[in-house]
Amino acid sequence: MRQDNSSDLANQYYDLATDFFEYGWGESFHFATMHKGESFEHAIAKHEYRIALKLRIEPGEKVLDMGCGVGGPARNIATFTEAEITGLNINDYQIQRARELTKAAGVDHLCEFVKGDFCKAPLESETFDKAYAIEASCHAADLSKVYREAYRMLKPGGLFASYEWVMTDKYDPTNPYHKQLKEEIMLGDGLPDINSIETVLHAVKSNGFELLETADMVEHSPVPWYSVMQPRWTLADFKITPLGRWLTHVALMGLELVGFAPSGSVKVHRTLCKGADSLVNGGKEGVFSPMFLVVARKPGKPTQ
Amino acid sequence: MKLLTHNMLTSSIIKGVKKGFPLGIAATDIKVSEVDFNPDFIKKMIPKLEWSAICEAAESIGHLDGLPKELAPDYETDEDFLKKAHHVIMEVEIKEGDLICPETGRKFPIKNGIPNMLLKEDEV
Ligand SMILES: C[S@@+](CC[C@H](N)C(=O)[O-])C[C@H]1O[C@@H](n2cnc3c(N)ncnc32)[C@H](O)[C@@H]1O
Repeated sequence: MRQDNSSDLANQYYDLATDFFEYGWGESFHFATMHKGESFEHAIAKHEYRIALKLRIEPGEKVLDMGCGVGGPARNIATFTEAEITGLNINDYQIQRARELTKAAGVDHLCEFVKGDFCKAPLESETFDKAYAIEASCHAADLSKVYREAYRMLKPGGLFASYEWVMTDKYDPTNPYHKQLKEEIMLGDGLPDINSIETVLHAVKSNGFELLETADMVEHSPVPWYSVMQPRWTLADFKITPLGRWLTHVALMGLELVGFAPSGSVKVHRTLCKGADSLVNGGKEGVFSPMFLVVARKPGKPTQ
Repeated sequence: MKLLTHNMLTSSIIKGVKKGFPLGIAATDIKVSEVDFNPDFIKKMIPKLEWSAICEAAESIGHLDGLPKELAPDYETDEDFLKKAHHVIMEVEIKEGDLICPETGRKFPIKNGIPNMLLKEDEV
């Protein structure tokens, strides 16, 4: 079954990549719009608050995070809004990590985690006031299933927001370079496919949602979102600069040789670096966006 | 996992299962820890819950702890009730054990406070 293959693909990818992400990126595994002089942490947090704003999350609401990673966004949005957030994730390693980090941050009264598949979620229908997915639905082989599940679990009148990974309208499937960029991103980031904007909008509407807003947030990012993966020379960003990457790589190779780093680390690291490069290239060419924002509403009169 | 979360889990993802709610609980490790009492939060949360499932679940793990099984019409102003509700839905946590599908008996392990609701390919 294609579905299960895509879950496996995501799982294998994240089993290996999680530690690298946390080390190089922090506790939120997504991109962000960036402004001049803005710190990376600030930009990341702002990208999450935008979700809270678009969803109009209120204290005491029940909110679902579909594909929650290690819970960075859930913790941040929970402390910001005082809503009760349930994080759903298919990856065992990440979800254990999510719980540890949540306890350590002292927000476990607002965030809980469930291991499960967002294409077939083990959660009751009409349960959540709001739901969101941050750069997660891209892992589904069939995006429509994610929207179908979000719709099912929302109460009438409930809102859903997502940052989708898309090939933009500038993407020309007959252009070999474009095709190559797309394939490199899929390979480097463990994805079954990358959706067009049309596919995304179809998933929204065909599942009954009322579309409230779409925006390619790339167009609202004066400093390109991919610049965080390009050479910069501050110490904090060192790890994701080419030199830093290379040194990390060499260091890992050493550790792996003497048996400290899990074997395969070097390979994963190389894959991640390639993934990063293909994202930068896709971003520069304007054919790829990791932040196509969708805000949608489940029709109906809000209930308790 | 708190009972708040148990209250929204279902095993209806299993092929052939209709309702799959509420899941049975066989807990082997329960932890009760103090959480700051926020009456407004609890007041907002209560109408969002399947109250009978909360009480049933709490009772089955021996932690009903004096919580009334019926929601009184004036519960919002009943501080004692709100505190008991707060205790049951926020402070009681199942760390290890199993959730059990009410229709098939399929067990979903809770490990380190996280319920594993993933099914095998042939179960969906
Ligand atoms: C790029 S990460 C984003 C994580 C998180 N939203 C964040 O911004 O930090 C994508 C996440 O989706 C999760 N995921 C992928 N496929 C999934 C599925 N079928 N069900 C649930 N989660 C899934 C992955 O395990 C991973 O945590």
